[in-house]
Amino acid sequence: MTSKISRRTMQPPARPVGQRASPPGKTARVPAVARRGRLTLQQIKHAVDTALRGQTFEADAQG
Amino acid sequence: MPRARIPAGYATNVFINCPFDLEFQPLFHAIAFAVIQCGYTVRCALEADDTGATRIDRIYRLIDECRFGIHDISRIEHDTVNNLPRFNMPFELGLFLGARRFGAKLQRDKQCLVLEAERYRYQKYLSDIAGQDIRQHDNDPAKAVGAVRDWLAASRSKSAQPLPGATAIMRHYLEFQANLPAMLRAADLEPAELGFFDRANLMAQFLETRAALAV
Repeated sequence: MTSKISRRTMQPPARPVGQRASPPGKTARVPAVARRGRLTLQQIKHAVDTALRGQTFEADAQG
Repeated sequence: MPRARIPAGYATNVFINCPFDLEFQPLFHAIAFAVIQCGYTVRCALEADDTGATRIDRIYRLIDECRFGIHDISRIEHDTVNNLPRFNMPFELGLFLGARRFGAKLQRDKQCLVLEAERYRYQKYLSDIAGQDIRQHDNDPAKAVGAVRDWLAASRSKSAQPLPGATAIMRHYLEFQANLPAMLRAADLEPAELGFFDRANLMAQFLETRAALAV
């Protein structure tokens, strides 16, 4: 099996903080944003979840 | 021989070089949202300085770390405080073009979009940039979003997934704006306390949650 584990560090290749796991595109919706700010990620998620609670949105057409 | 260092996220980092005044905020925020929805990373000089570096060193670092650069040079009026023009945007555009021209191999792949409010006006004050990708936005966020989206789409390989259309991005952006007050209340933040990173992170999370709620 091919492994991408680095010979030098014996660790999987690290993905920098905030960098997306998949290439940019229509379905890969979670964008890479440097995760530095006043609010923690939990606070960000809580704020959005609270604001959008009970709402539905129009789905986008698939390209 | 050591291999050239590749900054983290270089291929998807987008440097936004634009005015940060209140008047320009509708365009700045819409441009940032478009960049994020297209799956790229927004970077700009508003990033907190956690290194003690001087402003110019932070700009150097930002440009070094970004393959893409959006440069709005439309703010040519004298400011209301000093009655003088601001030269930061064209200066940073020059740095970006210089990095692309004289930088290491990686830097020569840089992609540059120049935005102006009026078509061909730049020819009267910055004619040296003729030949760059220059688009007008008429101070309309929707037009700026369309220019950014189309420019990013043009840089992608044919096998890459298509980007959302400008109309969809604007619709999502308006939904985000409509929900922002509730998000701020939930986060116990005043609008004036919302910084660049938090706004960008809220945009990102909004898009993720919105996609999950779409029917």
